[in-house]
Amino acid sequence: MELDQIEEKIRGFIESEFPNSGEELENTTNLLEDWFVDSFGIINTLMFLENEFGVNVDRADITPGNFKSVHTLSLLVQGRLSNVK
Amino acid sequence: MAHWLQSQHPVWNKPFVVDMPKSIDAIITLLAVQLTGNIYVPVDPESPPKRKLAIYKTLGPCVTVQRDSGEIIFDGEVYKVPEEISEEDFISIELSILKSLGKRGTQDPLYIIFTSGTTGQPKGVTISNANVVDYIEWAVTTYAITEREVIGNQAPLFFDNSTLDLYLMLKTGATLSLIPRETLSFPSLLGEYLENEKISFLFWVPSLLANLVKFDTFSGHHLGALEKILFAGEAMPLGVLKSLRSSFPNALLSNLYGPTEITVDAIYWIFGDELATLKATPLGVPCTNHRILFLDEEGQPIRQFDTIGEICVAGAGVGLGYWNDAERSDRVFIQNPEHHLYNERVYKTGDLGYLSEADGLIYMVGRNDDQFKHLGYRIESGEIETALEQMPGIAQSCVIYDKDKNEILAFYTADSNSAGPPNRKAMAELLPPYMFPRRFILLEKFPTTANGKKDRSLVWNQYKNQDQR
Repeated sequence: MELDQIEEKIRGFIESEFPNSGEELENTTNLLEDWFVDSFGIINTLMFLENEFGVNVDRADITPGNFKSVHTLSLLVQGRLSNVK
Repeated sequence: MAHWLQSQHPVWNKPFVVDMPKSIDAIITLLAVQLTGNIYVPVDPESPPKRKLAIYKTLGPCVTVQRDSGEIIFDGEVYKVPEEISEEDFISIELSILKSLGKRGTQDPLYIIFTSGTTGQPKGVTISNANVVDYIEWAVTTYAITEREVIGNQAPLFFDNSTLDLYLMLKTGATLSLIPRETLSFPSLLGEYLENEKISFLFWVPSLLANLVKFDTFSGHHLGALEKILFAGEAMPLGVLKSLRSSFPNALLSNLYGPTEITVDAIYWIFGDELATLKATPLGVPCTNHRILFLDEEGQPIRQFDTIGEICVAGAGVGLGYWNDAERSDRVFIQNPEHHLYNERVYKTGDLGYLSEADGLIYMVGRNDDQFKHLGYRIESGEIETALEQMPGIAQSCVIYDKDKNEILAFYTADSNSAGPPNRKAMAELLPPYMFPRRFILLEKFPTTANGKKDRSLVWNQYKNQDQR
């Protein structure tokens, strides 16, 4: 799957899970600081990644760095998808 | 620090707002404040400024303690760590602190913790020294806590579950590990932390334990040291409880129950073999020196088994009431309705429950008002509604918690200016992120009850029916 497809899906999820009227979610928006995703929201997002993309996100990959933005999450998913192949 | 405070702030029984992130510095400050005969008030440093203002308004005269670039600051004055103190000086300092503390009674307030209030004005639950002494003596005995324990602290200091972690350490000499917030958000980091620190004791909210179960974090780490798992703050799902049992067949698992007003916990249960056949998670039995009453709608005690009533707590944990708010205190801290022979204050929790005849345990079934628990946080619908109605675009709102999906729903009518719900940045000025609604549902108008109030149950039923279509 192409990176921009992954990003689009994750953006759609974040926008519906953490509604933010009138604001545009960019791929690089800081999720914790600028989109006010709280700590329990992280868990829901991880569940989404596993269900949506059928990847098994390695526990060690669930780090603040990977969780920074839609872009970093997408890279993580893409990395996992290519490992599957 | 207590010695320094005595000379800088020679005050007594005064609230000290500890507006600091969880840290050793914050804990030192809590101790210093109580050693000088004052009252500590831990607040969430990340709480929106307007919410903090509401807290200051309720407190009245107080001292603010903050941390900035590694320094602890009391009302603008930097605390300077003294040069080395000789042993003799140290003893005389200790004596002077103890001497002044001797004037303090056990019924004097120890801390004030603020909880969500319906009108957006948080309530300052005031707890005495005696309340905490009784609670901790019970806990040390019941859970056989010794200095060997390593406590993995999750609860923030402004959440009263931290009282157990903190005072178990002080009472027994156990080790207290303050788990960094970032670690708590990431299951992999948390699993590693528990393993590396050899954590033996947890007192966490069920949501967090549920996440670790969901992510199978426990199986990936060597957690042999973990012997005692306690949980409170919200309902523990039976499925999560059973998974915990299979992950930790030999660990002590204990459910606890209690609102802040009665000093952390008043009911508890340690699970044994009966866990396999339970149909619901019980709250359990009253803690030592506590009694539980169930009141009917007229406020009269219910004496039959299996009859739902309002859970009402009597005994040593019943706190001093809400700071500077006699009216709200009197509504829920009431004379024991069982008798009028002498003054005995009991606390009406607003939680509904019953005593089961089959197993003699107390079970909880819900609330009699619009308060709910989300991720362990206690939230009043009214606080969110009050905040939303201050935002542009929203005329009236009705906040309902969807228990099945664990979602906060905000129904609203738009005012003439605009129609959209508020953005997250605007909400962050008034509400902590855990109170942000998950969905906004625009209504043309609210259905009303016979007396003209918005009809919450009708709003909910209409939503549910639509949802299923």
